[in-house]
Amino acid sequence: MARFILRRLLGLLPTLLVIIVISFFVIRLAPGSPFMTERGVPPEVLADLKAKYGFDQPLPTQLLRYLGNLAHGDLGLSTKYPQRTVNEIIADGFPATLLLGTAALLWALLLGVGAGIVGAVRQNTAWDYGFMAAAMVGISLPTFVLGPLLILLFALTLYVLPPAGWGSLRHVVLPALTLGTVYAAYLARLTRGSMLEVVRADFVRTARAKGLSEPAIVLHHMLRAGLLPVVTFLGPAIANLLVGSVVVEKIFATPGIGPYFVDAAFNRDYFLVMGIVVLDSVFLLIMNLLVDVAYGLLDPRIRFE
Amino acid sequence: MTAPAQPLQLEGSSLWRDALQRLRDNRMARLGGMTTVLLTLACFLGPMILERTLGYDYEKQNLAYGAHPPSVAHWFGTDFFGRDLLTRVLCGGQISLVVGLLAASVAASVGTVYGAISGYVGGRLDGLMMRVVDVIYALPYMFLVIVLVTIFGKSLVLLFVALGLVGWLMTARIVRGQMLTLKEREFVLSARSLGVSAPAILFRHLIPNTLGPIIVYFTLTVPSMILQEAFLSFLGLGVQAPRPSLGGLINDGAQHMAVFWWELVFPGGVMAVLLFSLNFLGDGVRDALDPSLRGR
Repeated sequence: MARFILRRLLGLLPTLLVIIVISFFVIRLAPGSPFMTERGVPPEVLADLKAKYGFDQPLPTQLLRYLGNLAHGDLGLSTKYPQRTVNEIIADGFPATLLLGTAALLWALLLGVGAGIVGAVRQNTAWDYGFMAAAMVGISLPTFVLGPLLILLFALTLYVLPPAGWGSLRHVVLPALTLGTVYAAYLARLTRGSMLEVVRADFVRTARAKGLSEPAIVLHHMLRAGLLPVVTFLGPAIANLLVGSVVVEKIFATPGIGPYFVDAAFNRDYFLVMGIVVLDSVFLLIMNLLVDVAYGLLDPRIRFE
Repeated sequence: MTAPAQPLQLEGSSLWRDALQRLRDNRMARLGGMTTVLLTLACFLGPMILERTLGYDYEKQNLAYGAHPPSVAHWFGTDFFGRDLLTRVLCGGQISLVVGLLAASVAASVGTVYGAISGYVGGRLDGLMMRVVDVIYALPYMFLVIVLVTIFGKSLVLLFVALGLVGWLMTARIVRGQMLTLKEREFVLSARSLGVSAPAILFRHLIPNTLGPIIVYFTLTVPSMILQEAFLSFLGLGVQAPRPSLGGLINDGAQHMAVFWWELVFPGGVMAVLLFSLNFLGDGVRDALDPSLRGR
């Protein structure tokens, strides 16, 4: 198993390289420059600036240099915030984004898997219909509608939670609910669907015949089989949380890395954009790898080649 | 005495007619379909009617009548510049629907042709084409869309292209998978032995046989495209002012919601109802065309 993970990790490198190269050229070949100001910059200063960031070199040289630095974990300098490195900006913002994402994910798992189990075990009852209708509402409520509505309700009408900001656990509640609800809705539908496939399976009947208690049957036998599609969905979903948090962090004024991305793209802050793209890609690839590992753990029939 | 035997009237039922019947029997899908039609009519006819009868249009400002709550004259209230919010929401819905349909169509056509060629030709070309899909799939695509839109300017056309070009991957995979099994079937062999050319086999015989999954995926792509357009407009990267879009209106509304709640609630509500009905319709279409997936 350790060998499997190691081999897969090595296999990720070429994919990551392709992603980096494509993103690098898309960003760099686009019109615009990070040093455009309304007044214009004197040519000598511009030349100095370009030299500082290495933009005076040909693109392939810059790419090689970027990759070389990246191998050391150096993401380069921000052009918009000249005092800071991209590493510092990400290190500043990532903890908040990570906390927000984790809280959102926990909420999504608890609500989604829970509702899915109830929906499947009590198929075609009021519970089932209620949860599935709620899931449809959850899927149809985009974060940028849900977030402001939650603020309007809980912060500006009921005064129970802060409308925005960061600092205490109370500040995490609303953004995490906003970010996690869509995933809860998808998870509920997926869990229900895959649990329904095993509800009448032979091994469930055997478990029941053995006299196992109903909770044990559901949690031990059915859920384990029913979790496979959920795990498949979770991998990319976790990486997508990062994209979703762009909007959520903007709504709730969370000091994460999300809002930096749009600004960085606007300002042609090349290294910052690349830094966030690399971060997200690494995240996505690792999550997909974890999904494959989790498959083997959940379903012993799947072997690691 | 026996009555003369009536000739037995047996009507055949095709896959499509079966599916249509199942769709009609699905109450939620019917509700979704009806709401979608009503909303579409409202979005396309509403602004015209409002302009003819009351003289409202989406960009004419009336600062003396700024930010009024809903009233008989302005059902959704007015925005900060005194523009009728109902008109603006309907115009925004119009753009959402057009973007959703166009982007989903681009995605479906590109994906179908790509997947069909990849699956039909097979071999090394198939491997190469699918590798390309894998790589694009691994790209952090919303980030790339944001980069593309900020860099190449914010035009509506670019928005279609950006959304459509990243949306075709799933369709391509689905169609390719179908092709792999379909191309081994006898009707393809007989077409080939009759001397039908490869493109004709592809477009006349194979692609029509994969229409079911394509339509299913298409109906579910439309709401997701609408959502993504709104997402970009919310970030200020989509449709540009003074043209309204639902995402942009929600963004404005979110900024003034403490005082002018209607500016958030109405565009947000219309967006949610639109997505809700499209999703239910799409779910119904999937259940109708592929009953084995029912309830997933």
